[in-house]
Amino acid sequence: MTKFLSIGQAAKQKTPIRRNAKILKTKSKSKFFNFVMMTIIGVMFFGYLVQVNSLATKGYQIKALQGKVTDLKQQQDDLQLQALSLQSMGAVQDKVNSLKMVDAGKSDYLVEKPVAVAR
Amino acid sequence: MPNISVKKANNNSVVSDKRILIFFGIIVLFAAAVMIRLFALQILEHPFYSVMASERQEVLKSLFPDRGSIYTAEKGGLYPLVTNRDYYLIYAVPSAVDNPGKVVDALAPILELSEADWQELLTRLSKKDDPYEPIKHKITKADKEKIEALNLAGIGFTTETYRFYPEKQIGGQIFGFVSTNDDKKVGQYGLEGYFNTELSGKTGLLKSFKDALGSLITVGSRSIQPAQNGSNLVLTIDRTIQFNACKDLKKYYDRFKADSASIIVMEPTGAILAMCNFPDFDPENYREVQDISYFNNPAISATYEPGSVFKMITMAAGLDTAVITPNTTYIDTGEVKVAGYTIRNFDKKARGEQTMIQALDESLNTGMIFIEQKLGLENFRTYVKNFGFGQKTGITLANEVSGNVSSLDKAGDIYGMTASFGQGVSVTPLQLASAYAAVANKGVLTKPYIVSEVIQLNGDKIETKPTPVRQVISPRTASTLSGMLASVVQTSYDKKASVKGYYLAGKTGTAQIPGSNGGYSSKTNHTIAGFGPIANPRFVIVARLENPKGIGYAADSVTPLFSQLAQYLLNYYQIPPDY
Repeated sequence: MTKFLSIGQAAKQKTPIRRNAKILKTKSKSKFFNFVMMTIIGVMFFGYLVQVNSLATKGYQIKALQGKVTDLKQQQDDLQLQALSLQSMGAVQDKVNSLKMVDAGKSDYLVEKPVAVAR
Repeated sequence: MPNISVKKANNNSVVSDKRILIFFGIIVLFAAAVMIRLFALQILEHPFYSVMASERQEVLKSLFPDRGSIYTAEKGGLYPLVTNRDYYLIYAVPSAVDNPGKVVDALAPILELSEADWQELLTRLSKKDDPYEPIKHKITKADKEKIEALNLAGIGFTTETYRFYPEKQIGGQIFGFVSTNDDKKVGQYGLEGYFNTELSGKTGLLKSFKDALGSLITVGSRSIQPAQNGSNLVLTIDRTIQFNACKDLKKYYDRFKADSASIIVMEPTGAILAMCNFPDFDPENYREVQDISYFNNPAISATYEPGSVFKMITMAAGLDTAVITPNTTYIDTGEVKVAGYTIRNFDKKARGEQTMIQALDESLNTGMIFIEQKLGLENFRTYVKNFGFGQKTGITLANEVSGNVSSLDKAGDIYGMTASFGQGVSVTPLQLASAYAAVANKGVLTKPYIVSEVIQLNGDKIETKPTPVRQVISPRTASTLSGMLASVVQTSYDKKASVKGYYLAGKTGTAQIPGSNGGYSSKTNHTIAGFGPIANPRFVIVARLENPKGIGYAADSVTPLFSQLAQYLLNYYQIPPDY
């Protein structure tokens, strides 16, 4: 009886150690898991912040580029309008006068006459 | 002894617990107060703060479309006769202006301010509680850059778009102008008025959020309804012909100091190549026009008694109904008496036996009365209306009028007789051009048109093709009549309208202008209408001078104008001579 008791006692002693070891192992695993999760969350949060901030700053860059596009478009419009003014009939007439060009006068026309060939 | 110390220790811990509890209670109360306040702000007063936030952050902006341009088609592509140009509005924020006097002194030479303007601007810029004062519209880019270089505090610029006309003095009345009503651009008169809806496009809408600096937040929610730019118009107007027609007309308008002048050049199938009037106006500076009647286009909206140019209609009707032939004769006694009135030839002469060719050559009123009497009033009225008189042509320009031939509906011979030589009826220059074009077009009346294409935003084109209205006279009649009209130009009073080497058809008219008290005044309208070359007509010309001074007859005033322009067109189209 004592023998069994002592074995029983020994077993009891042994069991808490194994259980504790298991518990310890589980605890450390979950600690690691938590750490990994927190790291992932941290990285994603940081990434989100970077992305949103980048988008917001891109908005300002877009606005600046749009301003440049508007300026260039305006320059192009101005040049086109200048070209139109130079091509206007009034401007051409002034050039004609300044170059002292004269009217062509009477034109002679070469008219194709039908040719008939007799056999 | 140990009992006392334990008791003390217990008392101390009880007191300490109570303090913690009290402190905790205070924190709880404070937290509760904050939560209640938050609840009140975020839940109970949410609508109020939501509206306040949207007023500050929300951007609701109208997106204004570009107004469509008006082009003419040329070999190299489309040339804009009317387009848009950006100018600037200079404004001041008086509350930010440090030294109004200095600012006004700096702006005055650039903006060309008068003494009165200078004083008025100084007064406006001195109002320190004023957030905004517009200074001047339509500032050029060059002036804007000069002002920006001065670095004046409180001065800013806004872009404004105005209409721009690269060609000056070639048809303000065709284009009309664009005015601003309640910040909305509205086309008035001419093409701008007629096609206002097509040219305007549709306003868009932008709904977004802005940050504290007023910039749009890219990551914020946004709703855009884009603006739809206006459609573009392509005209049948030939820029070169228009320029020359206007130049030639101006010369004669100035030379004879006419009250007004009009000229139309069109193709026999209806396309308007040129249309010009004087007095004219500059659509870019329409506000400077003193007399608003200048905005109307007399070529389509001024009616007048045409006189002898109308004899072509009478002759056409007579030939087409075969009541006369070119060689039919009658006896010209120089006058016809009817209903107590005496109608005479223009020179009051009697010529004896005359053919119809001679009646037209000599422009005999008695000859036209002879034809009208043979036709009968009803037939004559039918031909007059079939030629398009008394009704609008339907050209796509604002404010066209129909003229008046209602005298032909009245009983009494006098009305038909006077109408046969172009008095007692009123017509527009375009109706005359259209009628002569029908003769040039083998007797087919076509609808005159000035817009050949409407180009929509998506690139779709709505084209206008020549539209036949009706066969007014037979091709044979048209051919015979063309020959008779060529005889008028070659051999008779209208010789000055001829061009050597070419057969051109034409007829002048010198018509009295009705007086204000009934009857006729001593003033006259001088008109010429014609086309050529008659073998294959390429153009129709109608020119009119109202009350030219120092010259009696159209045969001397408008005929050289017709000849000059016809010569130009024959060269322009490289048409070889007929003989």
